[in-house]
Amino acid sequence: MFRSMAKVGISFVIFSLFINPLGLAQEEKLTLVKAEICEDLRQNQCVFPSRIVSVSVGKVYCYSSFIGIPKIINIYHKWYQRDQLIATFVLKLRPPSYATASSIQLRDSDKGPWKVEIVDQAGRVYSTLRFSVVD
Amino acid sequence: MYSQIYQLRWQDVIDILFVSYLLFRFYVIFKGTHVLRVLIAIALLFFLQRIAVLLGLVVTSWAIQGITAASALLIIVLFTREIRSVFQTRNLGLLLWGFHFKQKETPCDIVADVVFDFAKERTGALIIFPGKEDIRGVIQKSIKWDGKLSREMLHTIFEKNSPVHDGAVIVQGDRITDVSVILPLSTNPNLPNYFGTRHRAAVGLTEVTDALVVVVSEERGVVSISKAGEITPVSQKDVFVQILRKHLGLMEQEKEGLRKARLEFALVGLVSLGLITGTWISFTKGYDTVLAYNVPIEYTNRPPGLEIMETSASFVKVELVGAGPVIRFIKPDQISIRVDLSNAVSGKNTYTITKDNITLPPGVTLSKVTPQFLDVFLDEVVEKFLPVQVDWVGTISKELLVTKVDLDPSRVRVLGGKKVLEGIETVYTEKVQVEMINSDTIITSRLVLTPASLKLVPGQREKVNIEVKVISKEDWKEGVDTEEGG
Repeated sequence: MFRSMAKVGISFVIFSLFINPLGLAQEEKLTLVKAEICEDLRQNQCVFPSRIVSVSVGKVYCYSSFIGIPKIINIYHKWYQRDQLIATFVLKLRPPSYATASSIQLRDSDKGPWKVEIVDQAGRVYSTLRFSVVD
Repeated sequence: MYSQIYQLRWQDVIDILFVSYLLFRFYVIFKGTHVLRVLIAIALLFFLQRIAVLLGLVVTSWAIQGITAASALLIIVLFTREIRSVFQTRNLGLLLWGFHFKQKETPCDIVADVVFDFAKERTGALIIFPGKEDIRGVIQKSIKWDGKLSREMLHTIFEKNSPVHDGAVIVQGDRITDVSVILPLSTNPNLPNYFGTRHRAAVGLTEVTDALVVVVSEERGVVSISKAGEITPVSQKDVFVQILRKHLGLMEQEKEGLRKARLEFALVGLVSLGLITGTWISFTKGYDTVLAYNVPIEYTNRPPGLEIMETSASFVKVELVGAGPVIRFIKPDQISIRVDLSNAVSGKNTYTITKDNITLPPGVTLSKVTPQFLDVFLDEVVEKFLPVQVDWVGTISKELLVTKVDLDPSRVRVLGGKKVLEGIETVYTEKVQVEMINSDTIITSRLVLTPASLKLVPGQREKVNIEVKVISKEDWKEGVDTEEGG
């Protein structure tokens, strides 16, 4: 009996070490699971994701989806045209997971290479999405 | 004109001296030939043309210029022989710096040779060399001869069978003017008894004139010279020649001739120098020609670790003032502008362009510099690892979605100024036409580094491969997930 209990105990310890090597309690971690540039947004979902967008679509979206949100926090979508900061959007994330998007209107002068940086309050860059606006 | 002389360059001095010497040598070489006369005529034409130009006589100057050019050609054609003979001379020294003093064979040598021959042959002879006084009133009779003095002539005259051998001959210059001259006999009682008629006639003439008379004794074969009533035997030929030359004043004449020739050459040298200096002044007249050059700026002594990122100007416009011919012969590479960066610091450095920065060819002066101030931006060179992005242009199909753009390499290492690189986060490709995309494809494009001061770290590829994946909107709608790319 004692020998059986010991076997179960050892097995539990080995299993515990395998899934949590230091044996510490796990914290939830903010993770970006999806980030895309889209031509449209429907029902909070990205529609027609593309790396090259025609200026004729009139508007372009940056979609981002997070998990592991511990509390209500802000994240930032920073839009750059040729490395020049054009706009910064402050977006709220609510626990435990949340999808959000920012957008800009496209004009003829907006043609060229763009990038959107998805950044948290501490300045950590979660993703940089590069795309181009063409005719 | 004075300003021209003040600004005389060493090249100008050499220029004037060299051409003056050439002109002088032309005179020396072609002296006494027709070539020289024609050359003088051409030179005169040339000066006339310059005067016509100065006076603004357009047609006259044009006509004279044409004639001068034609004459220069003519001289080559007409005097080919003379020119060839000069240039074919084996004595290069004579051609380049030698002088041609013409030596004439003096008749004294001929006379001496002949009279001593007569003495050996015991042929009697009486030769009169008049002095400054006229002997016409003293001689009693003569036959006009006027022949060039030569050995043969004297032998012919004093030949015993010659009808004119009796009596004296008169020599004036290099000519025998009279033969069979009858002279008054001396009545001097102190003369030796062995003196015959010839000797007495010789003394008879020299007693009353300043003439010199040479006597060759037929009996004794002795050569004697009578002057001023005295008669002296002469046994040595060179002594004879010396006495004769002294009487004729040839020694002084030779010295005088040499002196005159030297004076002439000195004068010609001075005239040549004057002419060429005048020509130079006429050419360089008007020290007011202005020409502008765009000169690139050279930077020296750049501090280590700093690079020139930008300058407010790449060229400086330099306006130069000088004589027309000098200015026109200046080549742009003779002008340089150097800026010393030894004291430069990182950031903006402003320099004033002064004379000290500019190297000019001699003979010209700096009038104006544009711009006067130059800004040079220097920066510390650093390396940055930057992402690459495609610069798409053109019109994309409305039915296509570009789901993936992968670059190889996706990042490159770039060298450049620290401040410049601070504002640069991406390296773009050259413009790529989006029309090239119809389906999944791979495109190659070159990287464009802006500003130009940026460079790729050696070993980095200058071209990137762009792998593009596309999907139609219809397919996407059917639920195909897109992939995310770099």
